[in-house]
Amino acid sequence: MKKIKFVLIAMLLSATFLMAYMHHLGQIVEEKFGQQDKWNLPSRVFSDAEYLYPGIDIKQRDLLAKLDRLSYRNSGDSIQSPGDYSINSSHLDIYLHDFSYPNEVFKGFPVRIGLRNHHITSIENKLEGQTLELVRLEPEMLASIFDERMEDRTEIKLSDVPPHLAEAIILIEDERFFKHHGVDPVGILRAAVADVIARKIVQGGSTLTQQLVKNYFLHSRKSFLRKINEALMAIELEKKYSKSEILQAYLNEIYLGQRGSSSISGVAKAAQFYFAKDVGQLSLAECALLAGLIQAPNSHSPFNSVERAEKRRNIVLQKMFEEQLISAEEFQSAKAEKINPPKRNIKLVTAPYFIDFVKMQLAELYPQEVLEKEGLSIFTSLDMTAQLAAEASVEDGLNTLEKNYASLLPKDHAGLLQACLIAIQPSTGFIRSMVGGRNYQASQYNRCVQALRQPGSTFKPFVYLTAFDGSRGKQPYTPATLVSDMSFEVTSGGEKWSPKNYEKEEHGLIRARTALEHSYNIATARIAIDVGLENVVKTARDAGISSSLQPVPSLSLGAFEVTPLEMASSYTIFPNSGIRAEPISILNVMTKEGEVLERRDVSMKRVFDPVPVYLTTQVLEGVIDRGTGASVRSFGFRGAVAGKTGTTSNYRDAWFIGFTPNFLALSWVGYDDNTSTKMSGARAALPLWASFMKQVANDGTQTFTIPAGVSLVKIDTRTGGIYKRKCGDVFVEAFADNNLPAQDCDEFQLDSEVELH
Amino acid sequence: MKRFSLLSVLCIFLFTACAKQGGEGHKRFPDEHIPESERVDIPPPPPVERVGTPKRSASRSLIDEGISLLQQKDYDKALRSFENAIQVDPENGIAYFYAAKANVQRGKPESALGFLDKAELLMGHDEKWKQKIDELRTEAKGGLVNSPDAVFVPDQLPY
Repeated sequence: MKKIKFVLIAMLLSATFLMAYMHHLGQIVEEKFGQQDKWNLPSRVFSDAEYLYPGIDIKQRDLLAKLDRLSYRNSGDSIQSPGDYSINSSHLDIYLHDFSYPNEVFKGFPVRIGLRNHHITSIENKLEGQTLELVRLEPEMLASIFDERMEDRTEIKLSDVPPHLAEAIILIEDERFFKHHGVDPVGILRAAVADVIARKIVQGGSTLTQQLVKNYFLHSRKSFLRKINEALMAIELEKKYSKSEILQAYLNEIYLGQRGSSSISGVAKAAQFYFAKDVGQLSLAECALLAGLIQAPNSHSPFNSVERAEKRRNIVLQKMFEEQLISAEEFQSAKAEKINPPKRNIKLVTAPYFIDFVKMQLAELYPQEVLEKEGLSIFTSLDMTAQLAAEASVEDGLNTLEKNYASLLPKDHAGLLQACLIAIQPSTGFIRSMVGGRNYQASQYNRCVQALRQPGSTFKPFVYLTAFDGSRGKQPYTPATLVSDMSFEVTSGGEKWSPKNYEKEEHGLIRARTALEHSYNIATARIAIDVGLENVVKTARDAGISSSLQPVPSLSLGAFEVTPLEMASSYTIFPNSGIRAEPISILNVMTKEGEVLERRDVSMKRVFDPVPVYLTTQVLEGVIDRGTGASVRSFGFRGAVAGKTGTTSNYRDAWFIGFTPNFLALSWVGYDDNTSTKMSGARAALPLWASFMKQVANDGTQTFTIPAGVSLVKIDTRTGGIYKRKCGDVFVEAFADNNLPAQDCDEFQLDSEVELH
Repeated sequence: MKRFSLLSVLCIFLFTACAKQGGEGHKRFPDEHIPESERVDIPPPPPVERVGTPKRSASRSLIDEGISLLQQKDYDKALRSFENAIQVDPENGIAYFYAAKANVQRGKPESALGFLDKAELLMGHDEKWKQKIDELRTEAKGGLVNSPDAVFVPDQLPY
């Protein structure tokens, strides 16, 4: 009797405990599942969109590689659905993807791009037969900002899931989904029997609800307690929520594959990953393939084995047919559909230094938590084609330097030879590419943004710009003004300072142009002192240098440290005729609902008179044509280009900044610890620049805009005076109309003791 | 004596002719000291409307898109179209002009000035455009911002 009583009490206690425990689990379920935002959705960083129009060389732009990166699939002779492309020698057909831009939902359509010798000749909307002036290719996804779970997911509503997909999943994973209450004893029994017969686990007895609970609420470690919790929570979930709510959550939660360290979660992301389509655009065969993947996403993945994927897909189709979910015709045609997954991006990390730079700015706008869970889309100015060219130029360039100049470089140096290569579109300020180092895995230090380095001679153009601008300098100079390149000494801050030329020679009286083209230090320092060092500081500030600058003579030779990004941005005033466009990398931040949270516009301001800017640019063209940057041409770079080399004392830094009328790039090469590379800017930095620019800006058709107020006058190269037959060599020089040469070449009373160059 | 008079007349004639020529030169070259022979002509830029490259056409179609957005008072989106037009063809002055216009219309006249300077640089040689630029600059500087309800009157597009 006592025993029975004890058993009864024990049972009562157990029941009470079980009820309390279920209540507790029910609370957990409600708390987590009841949330509006059930998942942390990663934010995504995108490149800029790309416009295609007649004249573009698709080979030079490596368009097919871009289509691969955008997950377009070569579909053979014709294009049928979004994401297909087809190419032959006369045209390229692309069925454009849909894309959500800030404030605009773009619906993809098929286009025909006419080609001749890999140049675009025409563009036509194939649906309407209408000729288009241009077409836009959607931005590339560069990076996702995940939380610690690293789940890549796009959330979707049940109503947007194709019925075939939902049906196939239910059929293959939990046939009795609509009949059970979270746990399915029939299913468990059937699975157990199947497993016993096969003598291995061939079927799981878990319902969709249990799978959801396992993935959404619990950790995946197997234990008896977890199994119990899973079953109890599944029952609680079914008590509190409808089947459609549970199914929708399941379709968003389910693990469907792996991309690097992040997981592909939910059917919407999986549709993009495996088929480069929105889930609503999937064919029956694709729906069946996705449903079949759930059992073993990696081994059934079409990326790993098309045969295995096809076999599994056909099992699902077969079952759908048997259950009369599809007709015999549908079954046959889906079975015949070829599996053609898009090319997989091998590179998991793209533009890592740029992404860090973007994240650094995002951190000022949003807490990390918001970026990890709100699913924001961040649109940037990056041109992925330029970025890849820049990455290759840095890698190849540095390898070549190490091979060809091994005797110059230090032996067994602890750190690698490093570089920064950055490109900006001067007219908009868009940062188009950024490589902040040689190997991101080895060093995340972004030399373009974080490194403070002496600019050396790349600073000199600001001295000449001050000199050519009568309103800035104390003395007005022209490119033809004669300057002494004979050594001198000046006392600065109580110390004597005497600049020396790179090659230790002196050149007598030379034109200002010659001094900059050949980067003579002595003449430049004289000009800087003559026009006023504080004026040179102001010029550099107006151009966009914000690092510390002091009005001391060594300023003129680039003694004050700056970041490469500052330098690149400040040079944009030359091709942009004295107008400064602020550098931009983030263009828009958009919520997952499509609302624009943040918007950065092109911002430009006139900071210099266009005439002296043009004169300086003209001299910088001379640097390439005759001066220290002459090797640019030997790399096969055509068209109008201007630039400046820079080498700092003891060869710590090698620089080259060069620009065409529409594109500017800066390259820097050196060691992080300031060890000497024993290489000049022309030798070390210029080849990286040239290799990059040849790929992205070798258009050769543009010229620098000549502003009103400029005159071209023939001068004598020896004296800089107006040319006359009896004088020496002739040179066509640019002058400001308000500062034209006053003397003829034969009127110069030159000191005969001073050697003329 | 007669001969002397004839010579004088000839001299005066030649002098006047030379002076006239110099006067024209002065218009182009402010410093008369430099002889014509030692100057090199800068070819004038082509008229704004006449640049017919595919790049320019592509850029113009983005401008058209932007103009229709301006008409719908969707200023932010219009501005992005003009920025895209600049990106496609940075030499297209019209794109800068309309970027300035979008900034004036959306109540940021101070942001219009840089775009107008660039537009002037590229199209200042074209009298019609120069006038439009000057007018818009005056409007921007005066802060005469169109109220959002103001009716947008599209320009007579000269292309």
